[in-house]
Amino acid sequence: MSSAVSSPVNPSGRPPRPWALALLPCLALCLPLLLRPVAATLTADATPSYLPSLGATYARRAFDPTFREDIRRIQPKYVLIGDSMLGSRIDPRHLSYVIKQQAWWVMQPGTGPAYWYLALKNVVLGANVRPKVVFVFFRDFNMTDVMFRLDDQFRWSVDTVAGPIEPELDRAVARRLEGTWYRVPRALDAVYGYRPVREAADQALRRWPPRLLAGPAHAETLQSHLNTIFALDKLRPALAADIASGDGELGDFHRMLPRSILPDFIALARANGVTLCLVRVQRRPGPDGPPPQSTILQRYVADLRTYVERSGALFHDDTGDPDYPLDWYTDGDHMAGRHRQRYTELFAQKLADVFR
Amino acid sequence: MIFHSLDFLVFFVVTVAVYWALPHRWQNRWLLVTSYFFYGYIHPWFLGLIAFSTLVDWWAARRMESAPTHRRWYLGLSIGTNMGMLGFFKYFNFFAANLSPILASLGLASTIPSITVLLPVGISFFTFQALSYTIDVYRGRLRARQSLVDVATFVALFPQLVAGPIERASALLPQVEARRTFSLDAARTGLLLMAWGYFKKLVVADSAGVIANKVFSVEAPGFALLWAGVFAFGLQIYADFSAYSDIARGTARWLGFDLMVNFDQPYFALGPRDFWRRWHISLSTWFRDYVYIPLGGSRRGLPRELGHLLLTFLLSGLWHGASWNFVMWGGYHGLLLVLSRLAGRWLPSPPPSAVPLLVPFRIVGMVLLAHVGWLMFRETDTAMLLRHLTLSPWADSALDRQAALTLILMLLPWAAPVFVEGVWMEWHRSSPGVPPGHPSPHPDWPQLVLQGCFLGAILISILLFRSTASLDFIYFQF
Repeated sequence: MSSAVSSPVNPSGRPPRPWALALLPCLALCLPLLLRPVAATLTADATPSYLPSLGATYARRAFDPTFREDIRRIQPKYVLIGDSMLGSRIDPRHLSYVIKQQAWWVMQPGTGPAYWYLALKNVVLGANVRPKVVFVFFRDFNMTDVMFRLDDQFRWSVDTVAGPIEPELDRAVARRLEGTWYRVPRALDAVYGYRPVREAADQALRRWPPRLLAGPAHAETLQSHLNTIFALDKLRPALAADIASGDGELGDFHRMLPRSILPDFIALARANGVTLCLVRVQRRPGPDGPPPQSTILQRYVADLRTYVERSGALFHDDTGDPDYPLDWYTDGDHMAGRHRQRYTELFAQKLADVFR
Repeated sequence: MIFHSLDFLVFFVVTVAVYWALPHRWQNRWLLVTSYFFYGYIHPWFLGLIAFSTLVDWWAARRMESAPTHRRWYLGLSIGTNMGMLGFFKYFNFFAANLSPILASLGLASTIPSITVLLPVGISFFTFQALSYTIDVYRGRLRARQSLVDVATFVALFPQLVAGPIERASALLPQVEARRTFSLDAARTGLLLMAWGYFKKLVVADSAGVIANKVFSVEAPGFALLWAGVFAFGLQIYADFSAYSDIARGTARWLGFDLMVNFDQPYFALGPRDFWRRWHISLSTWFRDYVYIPLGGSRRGLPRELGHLLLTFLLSGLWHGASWNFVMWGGYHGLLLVLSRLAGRWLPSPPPSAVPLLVPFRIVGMVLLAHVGWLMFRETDTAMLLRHLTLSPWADSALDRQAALTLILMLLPWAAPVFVEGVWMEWHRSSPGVPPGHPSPHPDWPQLVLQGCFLGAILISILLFRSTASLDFIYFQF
């Protein structure tokens, strides 16, 4: 090595010792094995999660067989899956009456694509029913945002349609959280079993400050005050709008697609001879017309439509449809109950080719 | 490409493996190719800029030597090219937005169009680094290089390309030209630096960053909450930026290069002057050597010296970003230096026996002053900044104060390792032998075992405490 380079690094020029480098990675890689017994203690009595990427253990709700039994009994030719966007727009009995064929739904408010995918997999196909078409109702960026309504507040509803293990959904969640290299943290977890310790440490780190300051009895009050401080309505308007619209990473369709459950969703339907039809509902219009569509959103929807149609699925978009004016809406993007039958009729009419 | 991605680790392993298999002449070509790949990984069109800047600087430096009567003209070309690029991509919209109202008030055409282009990552760093080459050639301190590959490798060397340290041509170019051999000790110390850098970034900076971002997203934070956020940001920016420098230095060591120390425990500074000897050293010395001293430095009397100080720091603030808050931040630090210079001149020195007793107070005082600066640095909305500076601590409720204290307590586990490092480094500052920041070049067995355990502890910490929010390095935006 030249003197200009070597002086601060290897000043005396002694011969290098090959073992010097070998010892360091050996110790570095072996020491974290100490986490394994700690993890084993923590998970001794815990239930393994059906989505290990969100936590190794998880106390879940039981699978709810109600929808599956309904589907098995009704044997619908058309199934509609969605959250309250579906619930406030479609009356499945009226739809059956209008199209003169059996239609039914799996509707659960406060759900997202994880629930909708599992509803097709475990409820519809799990009932051994192969409908002609399955409609999935969604808003804007939902279909490629696998984490939408998979947080603590809404996770319980996913439990009610999940099996003991959901490998495809778990991979999608891992890809979303860890990116292209999601297999690396998984491999590290397989070797070190660090995830249960990480979760326990995370909870401990969150809990001790409020407990120390307010005491165990009032820690909850302090925590909820903190939550109030950072609530969406307390944020700077531009930031709150960004969060609400999902512009940014969520608006990049090609970035989000491989990190979503949508490819598995379409593949599952196709493998079972079911046509998937994605229905983008119109969000709340303004007084002057349809809701504004940012450039990012327009590009995203165009990319989504192209992908869906190329994959052999169908795409229907309510946005900009003058049949759905502002006075049809109640709160937010929900439609008023009195327009449900009319929406259902218009839906059957606009998708007449599909129902034929 | 970013350091804290697995893409980088794969890139790094392949780069190093091929690099040491090549003869010296090809090593530099390989470094240039990999550095350009590193830089153009996300936005390949950025490569055009760095290649153009390098070409102009290489040619201008050579012409300065071959046509010395016109060397001022060639220096102007180099400065004009680099500053023109910087000005266009970084400052055009800022000046357009500020100039339009002025023109309008004068009754002139008031609509200067704004441009919508992405700011090329690291442009402020590589333009300054390239300028150090042409300016030093102009001054006769460095000879112009014939090899375009060597100059291009110096400008684009990937470990420090995006966020420094801003290396001087006089320090790095000879290393680029010299033959390099693989050194196990350099690799070992490089690994330790990289590991510590990754810990600071993934565990400390990103965890503190989550708290800072939350506070600065609130529309009307109270006094206590705001300052909890400012302290979180103070921890974040130090851990984040020093982490980048550590990873850069560690990575460079694997390639046989030795980069300059960029941070030297700045939160243990005894005053503003000391702070700038410890914070972003490569930038502050660049401004000292290429702005402050050429302006006249301290050679033209006290009033002009103070003016030079203020101007240098205003420019340093503007270097950080095209926004008034950065200018204010620069001006604020300039003012602190002016005041400390005046205090040193006019106030009586404390008795020698009292000096050690004053040290803790001076350190705490400088930490607080630095954090007032961080408020200006972090809050990009000038109206909000003025609001924050007029907040009253008495307006908060007891619950608000407890909430802010909760955030500060949440920061403690992340601040502790950085604080311990600082205390350890300061403690060993005056001890003979290995200087702080340089792990012992020839450790014995117990030291090696200790270093192995240190690496294991870092890996455990990253596995357990890595923040789920993967934030970009803050200085990428500059």
